[in-house]
Amino acid sequence: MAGLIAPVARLIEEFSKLPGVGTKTAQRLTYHMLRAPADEARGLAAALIAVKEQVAYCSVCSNITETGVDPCAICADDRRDAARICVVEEPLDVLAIERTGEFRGRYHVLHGAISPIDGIGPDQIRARELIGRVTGGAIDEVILATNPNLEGEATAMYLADLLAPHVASVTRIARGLPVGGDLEYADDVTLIRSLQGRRQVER
Amino acid sequence: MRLARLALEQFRSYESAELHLDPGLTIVAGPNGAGKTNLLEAVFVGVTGRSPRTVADHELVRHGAPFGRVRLDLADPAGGEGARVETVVPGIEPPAGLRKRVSVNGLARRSGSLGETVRAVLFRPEEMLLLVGSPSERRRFLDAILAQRDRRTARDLVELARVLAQRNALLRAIRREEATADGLAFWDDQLAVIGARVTASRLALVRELGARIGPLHDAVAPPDELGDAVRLGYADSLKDAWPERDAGEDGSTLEPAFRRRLAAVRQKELWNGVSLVGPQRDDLVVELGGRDVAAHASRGQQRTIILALKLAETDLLGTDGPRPIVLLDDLFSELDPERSARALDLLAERGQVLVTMADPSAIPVARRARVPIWQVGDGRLSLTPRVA
Repeated sequence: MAGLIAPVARLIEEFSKLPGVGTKTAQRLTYHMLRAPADEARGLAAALIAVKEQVAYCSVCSNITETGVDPCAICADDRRDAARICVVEEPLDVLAIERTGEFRGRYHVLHGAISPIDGIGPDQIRARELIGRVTGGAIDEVILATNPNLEGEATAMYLADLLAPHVASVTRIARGLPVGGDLEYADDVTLIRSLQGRRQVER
Repeated sequence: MRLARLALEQFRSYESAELHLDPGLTIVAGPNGAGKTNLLEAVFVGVTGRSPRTVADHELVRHGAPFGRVRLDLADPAGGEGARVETVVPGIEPPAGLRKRVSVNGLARRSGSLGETVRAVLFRPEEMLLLVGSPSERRRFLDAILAQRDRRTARDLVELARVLAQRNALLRAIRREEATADGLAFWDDQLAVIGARVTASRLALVRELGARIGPLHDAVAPPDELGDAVRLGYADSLKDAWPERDAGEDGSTLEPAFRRRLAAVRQKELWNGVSLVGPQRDDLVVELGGRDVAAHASRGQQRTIILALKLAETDLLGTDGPRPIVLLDDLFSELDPERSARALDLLAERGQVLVTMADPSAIPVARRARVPIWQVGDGRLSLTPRVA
């Protein structure tokens, strides 16, 4: 970064390490921070540090939780069905399913999916913790809600084998057409999957 | 649809040029470096949205120009509506906001979505490697045809590449003792299912090409070579795990065969850290008179076989979509006069064909008279008056 003074160049460099941020965007963000009041910069810096210092992992479901709040709010909630576990790849997936209000059980966050290319095997995702949770025998159903791509399927298949001896019912979320969508705009794979997963009309 | 007119602006060596095409054969002649190949490339870019020679699109634009344009005017021989396909390619310093775009009759289309309207089959001199080069060249040849004909197989090919990449990474991790072999089950399963489907598709394709290539080859080969039949075969990596091989490309026997073969080579795969079974190890076998062409056929014989292979591809693609425009770059340079003459006769009756050659005077006058010859020179195109 020729012609830039060191603190500016340093911030641009840090910003551009973020996912989805290139050099141009990093520059814009940096100059925005230069013009912003000092309080705003302090606020951002404090939030960044807080996210590292005040966030921990729930000892039960491995989802993120506030430091000192363990188990997390969902695991501690007695009104939720403790016999049902929904397994997801990332904390954001928990938010997505929570938004639906449809699921009242508990979660297990793997923090990844099996992908040998990226060096992620069964030991790098939190699979052992999941098995630990179900070996007690108090679990009726585990819902495998990993992403419907190759790596997510590999993870689901691996977990299904592992879980089978311990859990009465291991299920996989359905794949198919989006609600409100048009058949003619659906991609082929989705259409094929939805045909394969068709169901008897309930009357 | 047939190509009635090709118009270029700022494309490669052409500032502006126009070529009118007959329904049949058209010859483009000119000295080396005059821009003959650029013309065929322009048709290919217009039809497929991509260049066969480069992935850097700005190289297609004439030096110093902000953008280049290829326009194809298509006519429907049945008398229906024609179509105007326009491809705009940004140069190395394009005007702000200009992106590569493809439009049909003025409406934006996704590049490469024209397969229903118009197709092209191209021969480049580099493709002599198809016969003498590594098996990967021949697999690519087969897969490119499959991907054009059938979207399901196109998807399978993409998926297969991902499965193999993941599986190989896992095999390497196991060899380094960073993973255990029980993680292979899912990837074995995927490889068996998708591998069986791709293999079945390739086998069917080789059989269809094989049924067509014989007569095409014999039409060009001189009479004393007619005893040597061209045969296409497919060499799979399943070995004795697929005893039903000779019964045909029945997908239902392929999948269990993959599983048996994977089990048989398990230890070897773990030592090597790479997948040893699957379509990525297979090969298209081309024989002339029962002998492998790479080792035994002359250059002229190889060119004849490649021409027959390309025309078989054209005929096959023509059965389930628009008949492709055939683009043959410098095919004739290594054919003797007799083969050239017979090849021209064959091409004259195979839809639209665009052929480049340095010196059309090598063609007998009687045949030349029937074919329009465009002369290329100094970035210009001119139609040579036909010999009376």
